Amino acid sequence: MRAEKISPKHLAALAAVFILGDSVIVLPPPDSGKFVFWGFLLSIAAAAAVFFAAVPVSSLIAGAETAGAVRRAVCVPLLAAAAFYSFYGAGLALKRYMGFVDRVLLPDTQRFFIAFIFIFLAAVLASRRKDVISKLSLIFIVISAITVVLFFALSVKDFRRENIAVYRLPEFSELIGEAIPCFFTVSLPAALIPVYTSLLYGETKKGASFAGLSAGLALVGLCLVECLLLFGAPLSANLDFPLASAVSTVTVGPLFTRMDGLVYCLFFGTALIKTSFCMKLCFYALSHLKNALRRNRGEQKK
Amino acid sequence: MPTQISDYENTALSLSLDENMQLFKNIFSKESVLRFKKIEVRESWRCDCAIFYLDGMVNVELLNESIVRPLLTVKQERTENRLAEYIVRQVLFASEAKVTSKVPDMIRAMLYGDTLLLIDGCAEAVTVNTKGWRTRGISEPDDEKVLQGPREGFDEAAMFNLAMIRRKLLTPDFCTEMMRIGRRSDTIVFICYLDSLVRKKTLDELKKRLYSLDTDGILDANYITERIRDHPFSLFKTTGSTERPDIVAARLLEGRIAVVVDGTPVVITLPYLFSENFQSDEDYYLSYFAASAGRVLRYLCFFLSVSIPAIFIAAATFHKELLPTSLALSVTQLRGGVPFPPFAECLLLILVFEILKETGVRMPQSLGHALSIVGGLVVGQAAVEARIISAPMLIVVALSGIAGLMVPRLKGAVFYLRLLFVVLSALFGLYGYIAGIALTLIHILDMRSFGTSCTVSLSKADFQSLKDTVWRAPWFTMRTRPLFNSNIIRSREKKPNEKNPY
Amino acid sequence: MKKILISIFVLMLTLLSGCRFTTGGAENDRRFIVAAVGFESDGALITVYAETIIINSETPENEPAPKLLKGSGATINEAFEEIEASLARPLMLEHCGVIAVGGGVTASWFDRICDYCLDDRRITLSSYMISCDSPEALLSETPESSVAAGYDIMGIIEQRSSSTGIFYDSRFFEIEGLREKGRSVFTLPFFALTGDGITLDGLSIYRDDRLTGRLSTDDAVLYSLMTGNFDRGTVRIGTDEYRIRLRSAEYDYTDSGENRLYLKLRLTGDSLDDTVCERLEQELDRLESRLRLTSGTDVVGFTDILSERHTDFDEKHGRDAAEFYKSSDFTVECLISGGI
Repeated sequence: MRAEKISPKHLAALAAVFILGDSVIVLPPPDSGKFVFWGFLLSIAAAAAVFFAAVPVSSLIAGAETAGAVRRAVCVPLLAAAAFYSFYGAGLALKRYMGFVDRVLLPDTQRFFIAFIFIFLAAVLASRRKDVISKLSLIFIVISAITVVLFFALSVKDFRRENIAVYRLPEFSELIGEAIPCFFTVSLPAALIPVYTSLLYGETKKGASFAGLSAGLALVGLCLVECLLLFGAPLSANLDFPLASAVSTVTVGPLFTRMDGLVYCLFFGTALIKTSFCMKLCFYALSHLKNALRRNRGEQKK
Repeated sequence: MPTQISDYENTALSLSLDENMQLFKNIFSKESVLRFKKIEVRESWRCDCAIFYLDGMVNVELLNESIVRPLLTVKQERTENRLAEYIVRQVLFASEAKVTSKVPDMIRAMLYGDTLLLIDGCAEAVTVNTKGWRTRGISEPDDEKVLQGPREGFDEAAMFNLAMIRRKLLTPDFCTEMMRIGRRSDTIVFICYLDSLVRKKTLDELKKRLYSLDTDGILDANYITERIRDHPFSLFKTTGSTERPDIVAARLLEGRIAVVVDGTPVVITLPYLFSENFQSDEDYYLSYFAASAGRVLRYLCFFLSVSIPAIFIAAATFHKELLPTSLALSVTQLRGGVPFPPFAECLLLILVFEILKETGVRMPQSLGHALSIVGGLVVGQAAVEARIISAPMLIVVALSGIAGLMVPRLKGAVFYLRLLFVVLSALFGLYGYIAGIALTLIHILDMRSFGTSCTVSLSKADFQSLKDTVWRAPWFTMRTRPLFNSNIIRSREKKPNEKNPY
Repeated sequence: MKKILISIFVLMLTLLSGCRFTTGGAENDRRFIVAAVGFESDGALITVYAETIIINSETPENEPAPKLLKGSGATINEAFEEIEASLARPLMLEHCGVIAVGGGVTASWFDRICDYCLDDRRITLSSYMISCDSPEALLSETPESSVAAGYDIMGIIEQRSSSTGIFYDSRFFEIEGLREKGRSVFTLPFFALTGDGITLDGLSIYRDDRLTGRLSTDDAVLYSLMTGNFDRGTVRIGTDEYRIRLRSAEYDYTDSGENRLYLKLRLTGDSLDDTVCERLEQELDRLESRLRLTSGTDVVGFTDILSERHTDFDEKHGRDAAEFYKSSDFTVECLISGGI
C-alpha cells in the first residue's frame, strides 16, 4: 500500500497552528517579569534545538514496528513518552481553553457541557482522515495570521514604546527564569511535530515542519509583543488572558469597538487543532507501541 | 403472472406466426393501445408477417413508409433462407432495424417506441426504429438561466440529450455505456465520459453502484442520486446535476462522468466538488472580473445566510459587549416590549420567511401581488408595530433569507445549518456557533464523492488548484484540469510540437 | 447506527444543560446599560454611582434617558449589590465607558477600585478613568451630545486629546499598567461642572494612589511636556501661543557633589526659536517649583522615570528616591530639533 503523503504547505500550516495552540491564550505567562520578551526569544532558540533533536528520534521510532530487537527496545520507551506527552498536551490545551471559556466566554454556563462539546469536536477531527486536519489547518492559519497581524496593526496607535524599552540587559538567572515558562509552553511541544509526521506519514519533512514552526513562533511572538507594548510586562502577567484583553482595547472607528469575537474564533481554532493533533498522535504512538510490544512478545515466544 | 420483462427470459418464438401473434397479444393483454396488423406478402415469397406496436409511441408515417410499404411492394426474389436478415438488409426502408430472438428485447423495443415485425416460419423477429413519441423540445432551463451563453436545455428523451452533448464534444473519445435500471420501469441510463480523461476507479465504482440498484422504477435522476451518493445523510451534495448540455460537456472535459437518465432532463455529474455549489453556469461566459465578483459574493452570502441570525442571538443574549454601544442601545430600544426571547423570535421569523418563499414558488402568478403585499405589510409592518417581533430581528432574518437565495444549490443545507447555528447560539452563545462552524467545516473537508475529496482544491493549494474556486481565473491561465487523478492528462493545452498553421 | 445514537445523546445533553434561552433573562433589553460608574468614599464606606440608561420596554417609543443610581457598602461588591437590590433588572457593565474617581477616594480605596475593575471582566479595560470633585454631581448632569453624561465625557477626552496633543492616557489599562510597573505618579483628566456643563478642566495628579494636586489646562500642557506625554499641540506662554511638537524627552541626573535632575526636551515648531525656548524653560521651571512647593514631593515622576531608565540610579537611590528629589535641583533644557 502506498504511504499517504502530506504536502509541504499543509504540514507547515499544521505545525504553525499547533505551535499557536494554547500559547496564544496564556502568553505572556503569569508572574512573568519585565524580561519576558527576552525569555521568549531564548525559548524560540530552544524550540529550534528541541525540534532538530527530535528529528532523528522520530525517524527512529517510526520504524519501530519492523526494526530489530535492539532498536525496538530503544523505541518502546520513546513511543510511550511520545504517547504520554501528546496526551498531556491535549489535556493541557483543553484545560487552558476551558479556563478561558469558563471565565470569559460563558461564565454562567456549566463547564461540563462546554468541555463535552469541545472534546467531541476534537475527537471527531482526530478520527477523520489525516488530510482533514491538515486542510483545516491550512484554512485556519490564513485566518489566524490575518487576525494577528490586523490586531497588531490596529493596536499600534496605543503602543507605548517604553513598555518594551530595554535599559539594561537581563542577568542570566533572570533570563532563565523568564524562559522556563515559555519553554514549556512553546518550545517543548515543538518536539511533537517531527514525531507526528514520522508516525503518520513515515517521513519527517524537516523543511516544511521547520517553516511551520517558525511561522507559528513568529505569530506567537507578535501576540506577545502586542500585549507587552499595550500593557507592559507587569500588567500582562497579571491578566488571565492577555491577548483577549489586548484585543478588547482595539477599536476601529465608532462601529467596531469590540472585536473580541475574532479572538474567540482564533482561540477555539488553535486549541481545537492542537488538541486533535495531540489526540491523533497519541493514538498512532500507542498503536505503534502496541505493535512493537506484540512483536517483542512474539519473538520471545519463539 | 409475469410482471417484469425479465420474467420472459425463457420464452422463445415459435415458427408459427399465429402462435407468435398470440404470445404478444397475451403479453400485452391489458394494454389498450396495442396495435397489430397482419401483412400478407404475396408477390414473391408468399410469406405472412405481422407488425406490433404501441399507439402513441410510434411515428405511424415512418412505420408505413419504412415497413408496410416495402413489404407490400417488394418485387425481388427472395435469395436466402434467413428471412429476417433478408428483410432487414434488402426490403425495409429503415436505417435502424435489428434481428433478435430474445423475447425480452422485443418487448423492450416495443415499449420504447420501436415496431416489432413477426415473420411466419421464422423464430426471430425484427425490431425497427419508428420512435415517434412527443418530447418537450429544447428550451432554456428555468433554474439555470444565464445572461450570456448557450440557452439549450435537456428534455426528457435520453437519446436527444446524448445528441446535444455529443454536438459539443466531437471526439471519438466520448464514450457512452447504456444500462437499464428499474425492475418495472426498465429506465434507460447512459454513462458518459471521455475515455482518456476519466478516472477508471471512479467509473468502476459508479458502475458497481448502479448495477447494485434494486428498485421498482427510476422516474428521475434524483432516484438514482440519493441511492448511489456518498454521505447519504449529509446536507451537502456529493453529486452534481444540471439541465444544460454545455455544463455537462465542460464537466466531461474535466474528467468527470455524466449519467443521463431517460425521462428526466436532469443529468447527474460526478465527482462533485464543494466549490461547485458556488459556481454559476454563466461564470465561464462572462469576464473573469464579473465572474469572480459573483463568486466571492456567493461565498459571502452563504456565510452570512447561515451566520447572521446566530451571531445576532449570541451577541444579544450572551456577549453584550460585542455590539457597539450605539447599536446596543438602538437594539435594546427596538426590542422593547417584545414578549419573546430572541431565539423564539428568530425561529418564528425563519419559519414565516420559509413559508412565504415556498408559497411564492408554488402559487399561481395571479396571486403574486397579493402575496407580496401580505408578506410585506403583515409580517413586516404590522407585526413590528404590534411588538410581536422586533425590527432588528426582522432585518437579520430577512437579510439571511435573501442571502441564502444567492446559492440555490445549497438551499436545503442553508436552511438546516441556519437552524442548527441558531440553536447552538441560543444554548452556548458564540462558543456554540463557532463549534457548529467547526463541525460543518470538518464535515465538508471530510466529504468524498466517488473516491475524490470534495475539497480536492485544497490538497495542493497552489494557483492552478485554486483558480476556479473562490474566484474564476482567466481562461488563458486555466492550463490544467482539476486534481481528480494525477494520471490523467492534466494539461488542457496542445502539445508543444504542434505548429500553428496560421 | 452508532452515529445516530451518539447524536441523540449529544442532543439530550445539550437540552439538559439548563440553557439560557429558556429563562429569557439574559437579553440586552432585560438589563440596564451602565454608561459610567463613579466612586466616592468617606474613609470607611465606598459609594458607587452607576449612570444607567433607562429604556422602558413598555413605552419604547420614549427616548432612552439616563438615571443615576447609588449604593454604598463596606466593599465595592456590597455597594453594587445595594444598587441591584432596588432594580427589576441586572446591570450591564459591558458598555461602561467612564470610571469616575471622586476627590475623597483614599489610596487604599483607589487600589481596591482598580482591583475590582481588573477582576470584574464586565468593565472593559479601555474604559476611561477620570477624576472629579463629585461623581454624583458630574454623572447627574444632563448630557448634551449623547444619551448619557458618561459618553459625553468619553467624547470630550477623545476630542481634546487630538486637539491639544496631550496624551490623556487615562484608559483603565494604561493607568493600571503604570501602577503595575511601579510608577508612583500618574494623572487622570479632571472634569468639573461649569456654566457650560461638563468641562475637561485639566489634570489631577496622583501619587501612590492618592490625589496630590490639580493642574489647570495650560499647566497640564506644560506638565505633559515634562513627563513626555505630549505629541503636538499648542503651548501658551503668557499671552502667546506656539504650535510645537515634542520629538523626545531625555531624563538624566547627577549625584556627585550636588544632586541635580536634568530634563532635555527636543522640540520642533514653525515659530520656535531660542527666545521661545528660553521662555518655555522658565515656565517649566516655574511649574516644577510650584509643584515641589505645594506637594513637597516628586509629583512629576522624575524619580520613577530615572529608576526605569538608569539602572545605577535605581541601585543607588531606589530606596530614598523621595529624599533625593527633595535635595536635588531641577534643570530643564529645550532644544530645537528640525521642523514639523
